[in-house]
Amino acid sequence: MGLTDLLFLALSAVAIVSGWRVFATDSMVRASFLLLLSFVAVGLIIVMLAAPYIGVATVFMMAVEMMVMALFMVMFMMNPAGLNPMMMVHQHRFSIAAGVLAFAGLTAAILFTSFPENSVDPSTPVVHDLGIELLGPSMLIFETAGVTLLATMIGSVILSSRSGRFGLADQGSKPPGLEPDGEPAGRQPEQGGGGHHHHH
Amino acid sequence: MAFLLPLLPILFAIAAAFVPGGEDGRQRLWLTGLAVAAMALTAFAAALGAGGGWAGHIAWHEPLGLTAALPPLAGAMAILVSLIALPVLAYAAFHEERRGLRRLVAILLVFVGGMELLVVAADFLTLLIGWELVGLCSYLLIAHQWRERENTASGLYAFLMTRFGDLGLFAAAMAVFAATGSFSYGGLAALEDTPAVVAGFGLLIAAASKSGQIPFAPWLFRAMAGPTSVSALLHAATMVAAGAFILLRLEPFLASMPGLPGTIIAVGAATAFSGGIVALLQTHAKRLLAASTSAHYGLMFVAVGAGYPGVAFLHLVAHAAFKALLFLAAGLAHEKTGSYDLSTMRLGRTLSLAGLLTLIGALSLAGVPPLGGGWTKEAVTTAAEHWSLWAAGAVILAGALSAAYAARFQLSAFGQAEEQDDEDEGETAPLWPQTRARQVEIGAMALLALFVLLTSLLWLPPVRSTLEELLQTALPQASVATLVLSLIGVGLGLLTGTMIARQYRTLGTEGAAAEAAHWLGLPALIDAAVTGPVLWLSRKAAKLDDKLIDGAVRLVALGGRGASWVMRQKGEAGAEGLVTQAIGIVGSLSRTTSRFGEWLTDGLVEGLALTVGQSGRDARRLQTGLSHHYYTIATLGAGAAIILLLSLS
Amino acid sequence: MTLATVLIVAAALIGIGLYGALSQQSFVMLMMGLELMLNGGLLAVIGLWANTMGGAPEGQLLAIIIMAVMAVDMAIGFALVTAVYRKRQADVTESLTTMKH
Repeated sequence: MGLTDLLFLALSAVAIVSGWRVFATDSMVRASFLLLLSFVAVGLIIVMLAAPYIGVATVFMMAVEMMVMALFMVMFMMNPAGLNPMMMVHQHRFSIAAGVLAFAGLTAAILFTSFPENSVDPSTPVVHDLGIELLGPSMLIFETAGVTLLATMIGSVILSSRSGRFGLADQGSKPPGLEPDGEPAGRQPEQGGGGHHHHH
Repeated sequence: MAFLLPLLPILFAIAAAFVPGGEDGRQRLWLTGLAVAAMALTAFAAALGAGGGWAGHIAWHEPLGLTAALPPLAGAMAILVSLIALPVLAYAAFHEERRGLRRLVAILLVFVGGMELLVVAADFLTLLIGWELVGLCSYLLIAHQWRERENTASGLYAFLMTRFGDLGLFAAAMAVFAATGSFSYGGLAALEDTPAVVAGFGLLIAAASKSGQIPFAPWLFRAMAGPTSVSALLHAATMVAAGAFILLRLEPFLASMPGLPGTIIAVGAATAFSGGIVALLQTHAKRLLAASTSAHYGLMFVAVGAGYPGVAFLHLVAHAAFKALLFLAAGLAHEKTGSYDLSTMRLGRTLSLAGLLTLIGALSLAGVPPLGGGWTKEAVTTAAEHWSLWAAGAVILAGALSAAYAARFQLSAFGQAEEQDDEDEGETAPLWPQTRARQVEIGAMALLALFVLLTSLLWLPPVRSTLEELLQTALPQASVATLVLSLIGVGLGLLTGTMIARQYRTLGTEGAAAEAAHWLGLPALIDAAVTGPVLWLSRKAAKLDDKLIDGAVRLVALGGRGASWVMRQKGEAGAEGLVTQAIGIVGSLSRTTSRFGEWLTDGLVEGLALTVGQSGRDARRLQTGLSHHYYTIATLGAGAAIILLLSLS
Repeated sequence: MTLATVLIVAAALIGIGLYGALSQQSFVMLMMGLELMLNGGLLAVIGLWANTMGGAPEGQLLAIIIMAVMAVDMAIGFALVTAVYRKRQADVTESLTTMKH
């Protein structure tokens, strides 16, 4: 049990526990920060696995992402700070069972598979190789990813724009009527805010 | 290459079918132009072919194939056919009535094509095709004005009679094929015994029927129902010539068969004699000429039988020219007077130019020197003399009769009218024809008269010797005695004819002479001997069929009825009991199965329906609209897929 | 730090993420669960790359793709959440029932 192993165990423990705690806390903002912690731990493990670029990129990316998520928490959730204890879950038992089953199944698969042995040489310039690969043989993938991200950006801007499909989005935009000044066409959804189901 | 000769007229026939049917004059001009061009081209091609010795071969499939060849006689015949057809077709385009004119000219051209095919044939198969084709065209042309019932009946009569004679040709072709394995003419020389007899007499029967010889002569009379140009071309110069032609073409073979030449001479002489008598007694212009045609073809048969095919051919040439001319004249006379009755014609004044041209033809028919017909008739006499004196005597007699009816025809048709009223004095028609139609008709007749005059050159020995070389045949030397005898005969005949025309104008219209005028009762004989018995036989056969076969069927029905009556009496009781029992069993069976069976089948079906409906309703409940439920379903599905993949691999 | 342990850690993360995705009512929490699952996947990829691929760059490439997928997922997800909130003031999954039969 060298230092690396210890470090690895510690980091993995952090990752798993914080991951679990994400769904167990009351405060939403804390949940996002706990997720960030989990991601940072995983990123550090990756750095230890001799993929420095990926690890560091993960940390950077997740940091910003969790900031955004916290922002959204504050925007949309009724209890961002967790001042009142509540636990908004549904189909709880089934979800636990699903999670446990998934873990068990995957572990069984891992333990009973024989993986080939081909460790990465510590001296290989992995980042350099990644760069060459990205801008060389795998340029197409890179570009596709880029285009996909562009589409995503455009899509997200459009989806969340203020001017909705038939009018301003804040006013709960409705489609026009079939005759002028008539009832709005289409099926009328049930009005009212989001259901506040409290399961304790 | 030789197949070009039949092909050219047929192509022009197709073109003639598409001539625009606009105004009368233009259509006639078009058709005349087409026909004249066709015949001129064909004549030219035939001349080239005869000179160049063309041959043709179309292979269908070994050993069947069509061969064509143009030996000198065939080449000369090919030229003759087209040259005679030229003026006749021009005449047809202007003389015949407008309705159906295109069809007439087209079929005439097809007929010329078929005749050319017959002439250039070098084997029996090609010959048969040409033979049948001309027979078919003859039927179509005789029945040209089909709207009158009797025309089609006459056409059918002619067709059936010639077709019956064609059986001889079929038999000959089959005999040749069976004996030698091919249809070629050359195979004829190799025949012996039965095949040779079959071939020879078959050929004779076919030729006799085609040329209107005894006993097939009546069809030629019935064929006169067709238009005048048809009679002129087919039944004087060309189609009936096929019979004589095939005999003279195959003469070397025919001469080698014992008994055949004598039969040919007998047939020919009999026809010449009886034809002459019938022609003398006829007052119908076209029928007179038809009987004369049979008679002269009889003379050709005599020449062939005697062993001089060249003589027969030359007589064919001369006869074609003057007979066609005479028929055209008869057509003109019909147009002028509306009927063919010779006793009412006397058109010498009104159709003076036509009468003059016809005189040339009539003189040639009579056999008066120095016209061509005279020389050829003398040659036939000489040829017959080489065979036997009796034959020569028969020919001389036939020649006298020919002269007689020629004189009667000419004087009755174009003689001076006896009653000359003073009012008729001023009605002399102008000499030169006025209308275009009349011009073309007279022009055609003039051309034919020119041909007749050309045949007169036969009297000159140099011409004869060149012809001998060209045609590669031998022409007999005339003996003075026969020449004198026949000239006396001709003179007597002319006198008789003139007398009948002047004094006994109505000879042949009533009484025994009228009976004899219809081929000496031959049609009646045919009716009694052939058609009557055949019809009687067919009626009897129909009655027999009715009685016998129907009777058998009725007997079966009767027997069945009786058997059912017997069975009903005997088995009524027993049968009823059986039936009742059977009913009882079946009823109980059906009752039990119905309850259970119904329950089972209904249950199955309805149960299935209920299950499906319920499962549908249950499946609908999955659709909650809530995304976490859908995630659950997706997770379960993913798990199931992974398990499936794992179990499969 | 054998391959097996790395992969087991990744499996644990995936399990927790699945639990979160299936059980959370709020949209944002649900998306956090998805993020965790992708996180576990990323770790597994890098672990396998480090131990069985011998440094071939395609492994890292897959990791980058996973990160891109995460980003896309988040972006579209939050855009949709915003739109739904504008329309119906809804922030939990139970409120979207218009697709119910």
